[in-house]
Amino acid sequence: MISFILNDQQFTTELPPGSVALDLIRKAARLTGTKEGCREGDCGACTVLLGIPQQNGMKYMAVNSCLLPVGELRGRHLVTVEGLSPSEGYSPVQSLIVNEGASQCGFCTPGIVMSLTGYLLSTVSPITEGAIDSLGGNICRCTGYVSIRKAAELLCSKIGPSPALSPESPLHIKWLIEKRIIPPFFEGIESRLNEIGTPESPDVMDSGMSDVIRVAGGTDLFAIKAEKLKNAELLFFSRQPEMNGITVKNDHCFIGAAATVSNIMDSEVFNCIEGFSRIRRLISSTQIRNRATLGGNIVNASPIGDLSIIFLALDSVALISNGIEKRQTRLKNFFRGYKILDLAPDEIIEGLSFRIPDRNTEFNFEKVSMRKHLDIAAVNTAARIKVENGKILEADLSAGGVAPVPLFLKETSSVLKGKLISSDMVLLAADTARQEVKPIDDVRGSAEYKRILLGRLIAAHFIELFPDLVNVKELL
Amino acid sequence: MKHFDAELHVKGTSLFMDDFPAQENLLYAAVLVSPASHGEIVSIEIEKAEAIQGVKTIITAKDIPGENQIGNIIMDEPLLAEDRVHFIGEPIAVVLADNPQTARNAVKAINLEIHELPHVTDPREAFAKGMLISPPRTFSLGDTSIAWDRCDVVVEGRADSGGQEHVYLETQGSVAIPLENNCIRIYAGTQGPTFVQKVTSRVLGIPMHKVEVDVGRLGGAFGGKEDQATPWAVMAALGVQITKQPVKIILNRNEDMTWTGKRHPYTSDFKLGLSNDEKILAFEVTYYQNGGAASDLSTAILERTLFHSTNAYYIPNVKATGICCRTNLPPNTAFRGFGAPQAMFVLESAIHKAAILMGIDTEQIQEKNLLNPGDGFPYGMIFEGDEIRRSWMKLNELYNPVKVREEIKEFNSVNILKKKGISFMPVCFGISFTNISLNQANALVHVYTDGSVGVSTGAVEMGQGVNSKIRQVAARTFSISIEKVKVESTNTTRAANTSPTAASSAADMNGNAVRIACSNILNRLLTLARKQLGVQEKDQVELRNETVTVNGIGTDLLWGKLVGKAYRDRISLSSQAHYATPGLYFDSSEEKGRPFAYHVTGTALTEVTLDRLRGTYSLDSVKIVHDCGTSINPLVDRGQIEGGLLQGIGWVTLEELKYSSETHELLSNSLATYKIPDIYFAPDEVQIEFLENLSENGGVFNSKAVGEPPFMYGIGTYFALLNALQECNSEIEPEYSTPLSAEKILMLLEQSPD
Repeated sequence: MISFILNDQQFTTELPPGSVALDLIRKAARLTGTKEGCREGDCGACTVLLGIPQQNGMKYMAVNSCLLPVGELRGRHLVTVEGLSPSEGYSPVQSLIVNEGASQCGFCTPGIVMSLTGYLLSTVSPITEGAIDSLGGNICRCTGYVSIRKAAELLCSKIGPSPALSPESPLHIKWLIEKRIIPPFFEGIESRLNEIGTPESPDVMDSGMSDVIRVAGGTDLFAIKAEKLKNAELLFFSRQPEMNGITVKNDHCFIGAAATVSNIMDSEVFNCIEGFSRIRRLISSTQIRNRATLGGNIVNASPIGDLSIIFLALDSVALISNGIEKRQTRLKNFFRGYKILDLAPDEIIEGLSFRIPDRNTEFNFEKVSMRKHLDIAAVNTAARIKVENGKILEADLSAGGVAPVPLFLKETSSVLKGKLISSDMVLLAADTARQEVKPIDDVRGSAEYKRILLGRLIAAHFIELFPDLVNVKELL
Repeated sequence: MKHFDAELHVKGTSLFMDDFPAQENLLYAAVLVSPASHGEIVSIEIEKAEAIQGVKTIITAKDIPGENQIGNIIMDEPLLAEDRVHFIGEPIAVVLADNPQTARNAVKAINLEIHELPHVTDPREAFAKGMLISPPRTFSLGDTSIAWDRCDVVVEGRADSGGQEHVYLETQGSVAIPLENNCIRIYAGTQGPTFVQKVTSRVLGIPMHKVEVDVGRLGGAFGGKEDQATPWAVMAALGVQITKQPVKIILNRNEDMTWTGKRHPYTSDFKLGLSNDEKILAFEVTYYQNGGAASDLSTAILERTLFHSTNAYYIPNVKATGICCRTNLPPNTAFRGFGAPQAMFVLESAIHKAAILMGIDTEQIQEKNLLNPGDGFPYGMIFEGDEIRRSWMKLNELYNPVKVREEIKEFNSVNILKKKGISFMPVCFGISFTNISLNQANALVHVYTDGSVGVSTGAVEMGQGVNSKIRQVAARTFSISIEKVKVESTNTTRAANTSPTAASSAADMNGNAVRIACSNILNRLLTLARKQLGVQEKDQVELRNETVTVNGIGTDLLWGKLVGKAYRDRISLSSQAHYATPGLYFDSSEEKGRPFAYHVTGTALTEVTLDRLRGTYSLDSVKIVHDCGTSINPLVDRGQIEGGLLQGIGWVTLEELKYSSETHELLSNSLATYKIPDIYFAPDEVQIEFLENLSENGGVFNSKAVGEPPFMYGIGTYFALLNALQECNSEIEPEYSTPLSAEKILMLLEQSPD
């Protein structure tokens, strides 16, 4: 039995925790405003809001209900388009979409309403750029997006900044109610959830159970094998605060395995690392970032995982535990072969730790995919380079899509060490990288393309980070 | 004016196929399809699958009571394969079960043995092997054979355009329910309710009047539900006939992408001749159309390719040949533009190649050869308007492309990593079904005694806003508020023998039928009003804003009162009306005639920025001057232009269908691997200017059709990208092949730089 609040009603379901929220919403609850477009998080038609009680307030986020296991709903607030629609008239998000002609066939529209409302719930200073980014996971085949962007822009200018200091604060909810963005019942949700409470949660770690499937964000698991997971025994990481913290100690940063991409991107430490602000929007979509976790991305072992590539270059150390003993391994040594990890069946990754780049250390991430956003890379690569007086003291480069594993570019990194940065040196690095990798032909591109692209992206690192030390013309 | 359906969409209250509450006893269908591109069916064993709990029955070809045939123009496609399969995704059996997962599990439990045969997927290879769907057709004007000698410049080459998946957000699906007396009602996700009715009748062996087809709305279609919605609807109906229970079928995304046809890939050979002063003198082209395994609408699509071989240009000597090739792909089908984009891409490629050879900007050739009023098309029709040149001039006036060119040259000279490119794309698109018979529509209008109005037509709302326009037409004809008008579902019992909602013409034709039906009722009401008010013959009696006016002065006879009086006086408050587009004819033995009511034209100016290092790009702006006639709903029309544009851009850039080289199964079979434009991909700036209307048009209330023409503005992005590539390396020799993927761009950049 799983109890939660669906819009303004308490809802209890006997569906297995591994069934997905989309089916609960459409079939069990018979709310058909939430649409099924792809069942793999690539269209956003099923976008809903998930509200999670915080110490003082509620945190709301847009997520894909097709990838959200029902077990995650326990003691939380699930909001669908029906829950945002006033019985008379429209919310400002809805009227702007109507007035701007930002809805044609209408199949994607509820998802767009949810994403824009989710954006306003997640920020106290809405800006057009952010509102548009909140729609990065919503595909519309009809409008060409011009009218949708216009609606997003008008929404931000119309609503202005919130008087609240944090989007999680009750004051923010109150303000959004005043602005008719959300209905008044939102105000009582936090206390109503407290009344429901979270009954003795089965969502605890028990590393002895090897037939249990551990679910972090589930954004890949539920895209690929939702049917298998439906009746499986699942353990959810999301309720373990020690698993999703981001802490800084001296010059080291620790990120819990269950920290989501959004948690990471919003964290202070990452906002301090130069070169990171650009990255955020290159990684999937708001809905996916709100669920996908660091640990999930790493143990998924996709040769093209963006976070794996980033944390490889940061020379991260994985903290591994079997519930009794803890051990550490460098991420560089963690990926052993295609989907083969240095991780025993009874072990989990608790998190990653890495040294925060100092002021002499530069970081850059490059990614080229068919479509720039919400797409899996053809090739991605990250570089962390420590330089003094133009001389490279440390270099860690990684690349995805070019090997059976997220690849640490060992030879390329070592070639760079001790060198003075110059165009010739960059060409040598690019050449070394091209020789070091073994890409294959697949749906993301030919092996030849990926090899050439990697060489160019290695050059891109240096052009981005050290524009004054290289001659661009010589690198083309 | 609004897109009224949006008021429901934003609240999630509009109902799509999968949103209706399940009926009691509902069965769910899943389909076993061919896993092979070509083969003989050796055996199908269904016993094990049929024994699975929850499975009601499994239907194969032998269970079909009528004709196992779903062909439209040519009868060459079975509903369920009998002894041979011709493409991956060809339906073989239908499982009916009490829930969708059981049905799909049962499909997997069917033992299917196929003896694979060699398959052909390349249309040129199919042509060489004589695998044609229909004999080649040639449209000609003048005599190209003697024109070449007069040309100063002649270019020859090849242009290939790729297929395109529709990605309507709502996948294919239908629900059929049993009615008394062995009748069936199908809630079908189709653009062509009459076609579904006809094919159901054929396959089930029952008369058409026993099959009622109802369409509420479609979550996008774009041509993909014109013919290809039919098999699923017929399967559901067949399931009803066999089980006497309601049946629902909804394809999931992967099934839909793998099994259904796409925009036709084309490969074409061109030869273009010009004089030194940039006048195009001759054009020869051969189009090899990849029709797929069954004809579907391929021959009609190829015909439109031939109609648009010269796009917006006057060319005095033309020879255009179209060859419809049969291959082992899912039958390719209608998609916004219907063969015209493929034709326009070839001619633009030829012009581009000539411009390179002549060392001039492409637009010099384009502008010189734009159609003037009175110029003839190869199919015998005369270009009657002046809009193409006016749109070109207006674009120049508004956006000063000469200055834009200069700014781009400046940008490119100081930037090494990024290069900008620009292109012009004029479009001239003929409006009407090229099958003359289809250019008819009907409407049924009821005025209820409370003054509210219900309108039924053959038009299907699929996002394009046709229902908004129909509401407007009824409200405007009666001069009543729009809230008083409701557009009903599209239903074959209310609008019979209708044409599919296609060819951009639904609002034109159905709108005109509604206008006539409303006028019929209005005339009866005004006659009654005259009697009621006792006015004289010379007095002018009208309805204005729900009030009867006499010589422009309001009376106390209001709409509601007048309607009530009409009912009590036993005057009919209903009317059915028919509209046939006037003046159309075509002689296919000569390939000459007047196939179109009118042309829609416009010009787009596209600017892009190429990242020379990474081979990526951004779309800076697209500026369009478009001819909507006198738009009756500018918001809807603007949406059609913006949406069509981005689909067109997607076709030439992002959207790449990838197949395995051995089995030729579709690899890009999900939204994770087939990428369509997202909010970031759309051009940073889209400016649309409606060309001032100076003439009478065939559309309703002097408007013009808008659905398809804007798609072809997207072709401009391909040539803007080529232009940027040439700014990186003037020696680059493009292949003229779409989509111009990031991979292709990078490989072109790898060609040795200057």
